[in-house]
Amino acid sequence: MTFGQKRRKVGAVIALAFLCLILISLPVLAILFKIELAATPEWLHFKEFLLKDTVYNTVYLIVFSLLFSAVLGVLAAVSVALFDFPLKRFFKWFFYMPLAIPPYIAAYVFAGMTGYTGVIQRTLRTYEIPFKPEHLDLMNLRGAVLIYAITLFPYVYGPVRAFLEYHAGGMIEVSRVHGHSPVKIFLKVILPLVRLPMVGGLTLIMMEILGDYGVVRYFNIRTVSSAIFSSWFGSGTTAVALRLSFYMMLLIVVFQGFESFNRSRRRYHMSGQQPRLLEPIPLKGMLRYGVTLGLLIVSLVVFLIPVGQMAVWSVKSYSLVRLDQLFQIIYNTLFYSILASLIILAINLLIVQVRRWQFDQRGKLMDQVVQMGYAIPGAIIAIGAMVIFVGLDKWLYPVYVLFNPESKRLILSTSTVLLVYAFVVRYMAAGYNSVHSGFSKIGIKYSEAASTLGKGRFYSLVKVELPMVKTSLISGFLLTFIDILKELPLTLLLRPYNFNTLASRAYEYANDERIMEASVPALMIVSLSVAALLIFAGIHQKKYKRTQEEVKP
Amino acid sequence: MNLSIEQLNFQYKNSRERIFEKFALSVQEGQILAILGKSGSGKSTLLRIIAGLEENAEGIIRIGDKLVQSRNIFVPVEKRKVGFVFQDYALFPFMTVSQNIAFGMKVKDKRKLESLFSLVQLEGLEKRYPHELSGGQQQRTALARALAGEPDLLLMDEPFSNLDSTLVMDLREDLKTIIKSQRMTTLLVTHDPEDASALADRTLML
Repeated sequence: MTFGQKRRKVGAVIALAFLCLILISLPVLAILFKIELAATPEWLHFKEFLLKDTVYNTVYLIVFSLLFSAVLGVLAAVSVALFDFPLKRFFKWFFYMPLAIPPYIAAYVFAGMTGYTGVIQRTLRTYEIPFKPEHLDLMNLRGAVLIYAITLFPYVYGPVRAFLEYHAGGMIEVSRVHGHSPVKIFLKVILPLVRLPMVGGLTLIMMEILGDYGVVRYFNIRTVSSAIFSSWFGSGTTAVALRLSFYMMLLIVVFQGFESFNRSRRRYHMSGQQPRLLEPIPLKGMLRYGVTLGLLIVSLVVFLIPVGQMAVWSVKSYSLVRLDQLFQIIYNTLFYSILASLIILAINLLIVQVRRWQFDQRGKLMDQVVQMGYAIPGAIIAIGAMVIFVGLDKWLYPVYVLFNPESKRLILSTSTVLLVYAFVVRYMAAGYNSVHSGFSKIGIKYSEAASTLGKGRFYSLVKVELPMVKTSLISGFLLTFIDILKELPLTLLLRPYNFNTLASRAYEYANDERIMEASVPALMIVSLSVAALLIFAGIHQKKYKRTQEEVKP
Repeated sequence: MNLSIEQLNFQYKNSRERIFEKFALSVQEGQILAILGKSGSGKSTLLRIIAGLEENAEGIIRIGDKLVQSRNIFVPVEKRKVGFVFQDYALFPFMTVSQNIAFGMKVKDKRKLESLFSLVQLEGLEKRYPHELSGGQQQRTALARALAGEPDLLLMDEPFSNLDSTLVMDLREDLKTIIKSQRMTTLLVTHDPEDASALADRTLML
């Protein structure tokens, strides 16, 4: 009898987890079902006049931004992980900070600084230094590449640095023992070794660029993402938007498939080995200060200068910003970011439990479904979610009329429920990896030990396992929170009338060429993200120190 | 090559306790020395100091006629010409067995590579990746890679610790045969006295 009851309980948990997985995948399925590959007039028009430029710009941005981010991210990671030099500990965590600046905000700031009235041109004119204004013009493809690279390179820097610190110690020591030169070690050992974390980071950057709307809209560059927006807002038809969304999804799948095929049987880390932490090599002489100076210049460009400029503009324009609205906007931003992050954390916990207890070996499909949303640009998720919610409203309309005979036809699809749902679908993966890897590390042995003492799985989860994976859960929550805080395309497409977040308000001000006012909400986004990143960095520094203690020879 | 160590002092940067104080050691050419001791006694650290992987040590170290460490001299690890088999083998997971071993050579020499395959009995496994090998095969790959650079001195840190006990008995014999055939001066760190008695000409207790 007891056994039967237990089975039913487990069955309900699995059913709930699968229901969540289905809800998460609905927007993508909606796009796949709605896609029309026939030659509609809208598509033919787009193909004839706009497709070539759209594809060229998108490919240009992706190729050069990935290249630039990889160089910046890998060089910063290698310098910090492999060597000892002044300010190294500061740089180690500081290079995460650019993640606090959304690319569209960096675009407004740098464009403002380099524009005719910006600080750079004014200074050059004051000191009568000859220059050509077009050389400083950033509002083009090259400028967008720069913006993407300096704001997104931490996606490469973080995983590459962590991989080198935790897994490359032995291999770099072996290379040194064999007498190879630093250049050979870099090319033959370090670069191939960091391929996996580097490609992981570059994939995230590619998704961010494909999904970005703020930078390309402000710089007036036609890309696939901006084409989805303009066909959605402009013509009101979904044919072109859906078709482009489909091609974009295909591009991401092909990229991941190509990388996986290219890796073949190679591995980049031997499983089951205790990490051997890398012993940094002290740099000597001028090189020591050269590296510090180089990284200081990078820090100035990627964070300190743009944030300093935002601070100056904020002080100048603070009186022009309506405070009552600003507080409401801060409340909206925090409330919906925290709410969606908590829902994501709860669903991730549920799915990870079902995966580890029921589908340990066959759970890869579950991972892919959870991560699918992250691989799909916000605009596409928005369209998919809208299709679902409009359908749901149609279906529920008789119920609405029961409560209010004069009810509107669209209730759910014009509410913040739709926005929260879209946030959850889009950012599930941001926290999933932290939760999944936290539970993978502890395995099921603690729960099994508790069960031999007569405790149930739920009891041991709450009393034993959750305290052990606490830092992974907090990390997952923080990463999700930062992503949603900065989110723009979903909010722009799905927000109810008169609803604003800090991101959408910054976008509106900047779009009206009120860059100074835009810097007030922008600086708030950056400050909140920095606070979350500092907590994240603190957690990881503690973990690094603990590992250092554990693996001391 | 002979190895000699005199007046060696060492302590870790963040520790107050000295691991070695006026430590001395001499190993004759072709000899296998087993270093035994409790964990934390400095066995692995001694190998790392000899290899040049720890820079804080003071004292005099000679490998053959070459002075590699003294008050004014510190020959960096890249130039000491030692072979090192790490406890976890540190094989490059993205390279095949053949590429791993060739990595140890200054210039890739196909004939020498084949003789190393035959020496460590890895023929037929050249194109496999490390994760596709058994523990014993991984250990022999690491040994072949260490020998590929024709080192003056071979250092082995707990080479059997990752292997199961039935395999270890066979591997001890194989390893001794290979090292003796190369007449290689070898320092072997182990926590197991049986490893020492089966392999070593001399034993040092730390």
